[in-house]
Amino acid sequence: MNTTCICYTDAVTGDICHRILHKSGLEIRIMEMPDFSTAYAQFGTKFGSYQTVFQKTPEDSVENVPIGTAHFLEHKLFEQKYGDVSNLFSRLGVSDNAYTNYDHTVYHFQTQSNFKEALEILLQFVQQPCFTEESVEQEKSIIKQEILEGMDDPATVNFHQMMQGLYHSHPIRWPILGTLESIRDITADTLYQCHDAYYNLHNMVLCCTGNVYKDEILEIADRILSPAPPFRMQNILPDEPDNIASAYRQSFADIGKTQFSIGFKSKPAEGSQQMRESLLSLITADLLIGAVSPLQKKLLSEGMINDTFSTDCFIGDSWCTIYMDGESDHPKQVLEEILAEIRRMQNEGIDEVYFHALKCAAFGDVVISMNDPGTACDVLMESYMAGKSSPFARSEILASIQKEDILHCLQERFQPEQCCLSVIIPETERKEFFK
Amino acid sequence: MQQTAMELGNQIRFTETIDHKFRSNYVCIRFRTPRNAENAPIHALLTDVLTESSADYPSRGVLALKLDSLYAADFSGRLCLIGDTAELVFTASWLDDRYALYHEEITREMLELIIGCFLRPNIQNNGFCNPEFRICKQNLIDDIDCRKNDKREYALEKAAALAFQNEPAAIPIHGERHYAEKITPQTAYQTWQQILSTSSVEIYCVTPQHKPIIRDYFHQAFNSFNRFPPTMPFLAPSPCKEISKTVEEIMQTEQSKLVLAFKFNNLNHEELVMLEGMLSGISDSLLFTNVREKQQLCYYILMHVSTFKNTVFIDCGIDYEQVSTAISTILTQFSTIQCGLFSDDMKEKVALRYERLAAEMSDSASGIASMACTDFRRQETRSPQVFSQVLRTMPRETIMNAAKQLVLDSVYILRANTDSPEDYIE
Repeated sequence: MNTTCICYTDAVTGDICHRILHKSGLEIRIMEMPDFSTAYAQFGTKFGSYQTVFQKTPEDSVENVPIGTAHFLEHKLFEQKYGDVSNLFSRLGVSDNAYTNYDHTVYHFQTQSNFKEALEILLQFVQQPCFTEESVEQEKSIIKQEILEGMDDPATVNFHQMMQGLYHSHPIRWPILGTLESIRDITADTLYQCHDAYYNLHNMVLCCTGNVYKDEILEIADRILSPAPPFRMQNILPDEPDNIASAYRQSFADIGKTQFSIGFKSKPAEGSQQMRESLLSLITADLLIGAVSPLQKKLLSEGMINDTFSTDCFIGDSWCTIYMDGESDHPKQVLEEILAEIRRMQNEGIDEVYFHALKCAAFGDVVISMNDPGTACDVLMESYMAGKSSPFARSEILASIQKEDILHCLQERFQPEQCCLSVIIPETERKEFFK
Repeated sequence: MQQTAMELGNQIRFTETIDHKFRSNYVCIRFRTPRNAENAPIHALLTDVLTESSADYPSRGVLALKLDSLYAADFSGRLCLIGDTAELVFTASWLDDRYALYHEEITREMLELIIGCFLRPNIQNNGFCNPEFRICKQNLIDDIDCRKNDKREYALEKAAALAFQNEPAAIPIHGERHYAEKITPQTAYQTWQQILSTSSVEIYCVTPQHKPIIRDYFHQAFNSFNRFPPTMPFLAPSPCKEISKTVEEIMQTEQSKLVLAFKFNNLNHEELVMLEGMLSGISDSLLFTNVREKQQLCYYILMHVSTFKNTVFIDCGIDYEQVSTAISTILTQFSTIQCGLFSDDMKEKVALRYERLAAEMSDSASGIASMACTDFRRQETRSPQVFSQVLRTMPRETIMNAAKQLVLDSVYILRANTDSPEDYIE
């Protein structure tokens, strides 16, 4: 296989992105932004928390790993024979870190000097796992504290509680970090096994933005990367019914006001359609109950919600959830109002003025986001993970969205019977609740 | 990048930075004013109510629609503490006119909108109009009630209250509930009128091309009324307690929080940057290496500098049983620096980190504005390159003596009580 390069140009801004299919199997996306001082690199793999059952090749046996394994592996990859890899970055003046998501893990750095040296370190350490049983055991205390911190965050807890209401068996219902119980079963072998399975260059991407140069990056890639074996991984998922597991979930915590999350479960979008469905869902949710909507005005005026209210779309290759969250003393009424507004919009149609304003806003966001090297790097990564060849796909999708698409989205993705209300009630109201 | 600063009026400083690489314009307007228990929640409310409506855009929905139609333009407010004073910070950003799809004059429209919110708020009977005022007041009260939702921020706020007892900085950022409940549309509007005429004002603007229109709008707006601002120092050092004080609070949480407050008499900017870098800023900082990596006591441990209060805080989330081990390990790291048991390599890493942070700031409009602001307040005239050279060549004795100045003032512990009753219902 030879290295090939495709060049994409954004019609509005003139931004150029190079998409390189490297002979090693790795895809590389580069945006040269010479006016900026800093450079960003992100090295990602399509391995996240939901991939807990897999088959490396059809000839191999099916492997089951504990929830939280992808995140644990992300922590441990920083350990190398010579110590913590962060110390090498630090000597170069480079800031490094990593994050794990539901369907991918990304290792990244940013710098204003020594980019080439840092890129070499990044490409090497992510491909060279080097940890022991003892060090894996030691890491459990640190990850335990990270999990405990999340358990004290009502927004995080409520999100998971809502996902457990929406999904019966899909691993998306579990936290990315795993649980205090699940991480106990993780061993060095588990981590090596997952690394071997998913950290294959055919399943990975390198994104570089800012003060970077394509030829320099390619020279390093040519020197460091060896061709990867074919990637024939199969993710195995339990059967997930179309309907939701439960319509209402509730718990108590030491918080100041009731927190709610309202989630709508719908069918996942096919591969490269994910980005379109995500943008469409966000605009639809904004029209329904965003800052410009009559419903938000009404709910705020009546004191049913406050300014913590927000909407978002959570989409992957085997799940789709549009959700709203915030604080309210009357979450059930908020849900009723939302369902009534969905019916009204379906009957009366979409307001042309709001629709136009939201499309303008989405356009502005796209233009501005590519004017920041850090955000541009995120956009390149996001487009790869969403299966889009062009990093500028967002502009093209936005231009194509019509009012009819919004009505269709309302019909397909905001079905009342596919909705779960999850609430966390202050401890101080517990007694009153059980009266 | 070109930067110019000028006075637009009595204690109104305007700084313009032109940087061609940006596609958007950014303006930050800072009103600094004295604070007390009564006006603290009013300040918080003003940052909300003034950015939600005006006479021109009488409801938050109408204003949001306008901002969306101007290509996701943003206008928002927040409250900061600067020493013992409050600072109402308003920021606006908008796409440069050349990107407008329908040839709108975005810059002019945004300036009208901002000035309108400041000088022509939505007023009735000499007070802010409802329902916008009522919504903002409820937001504020909910915000105060929900302080404990974010356990880490809550612990830091309680630690500040303990460290700065009887000083204005001890008042929670959004004030106390009973004072918030007393706010009326009239008291809020009167406070705003007073702020307009008595606060110290700093305006920072970052644009891709020179735009005199921005300066002209603010000049005209702030010279349309009389101003008589008093002198307000930035620095308000907090005295160190003779005997350090420990306070423990129990809450139904999974993880305990530990916050230590240290005070100092006189550390300059470079000494603080060096100590912060060595203790928690660089990847292999003393706290990260010894508290997290070697002893696995926590996931995060960070140092925060309260510059104008001569105080630093160190916070982490840990098991309650490990609190004393954590305190002793943290204090050991201070001793390590005081005794000079650190490598010169660390100084170099701190200098490189500073250079990177400065470069990151220069790559964003908000970062440039923020850097201009801090440089002005510190009267800093050295370039980042010169400053990082000062870090590199800082004598070891200077660093050791700087660390010796840090004296433990107080310890705040949020103790987790994990005994929760059955609480799950489906």
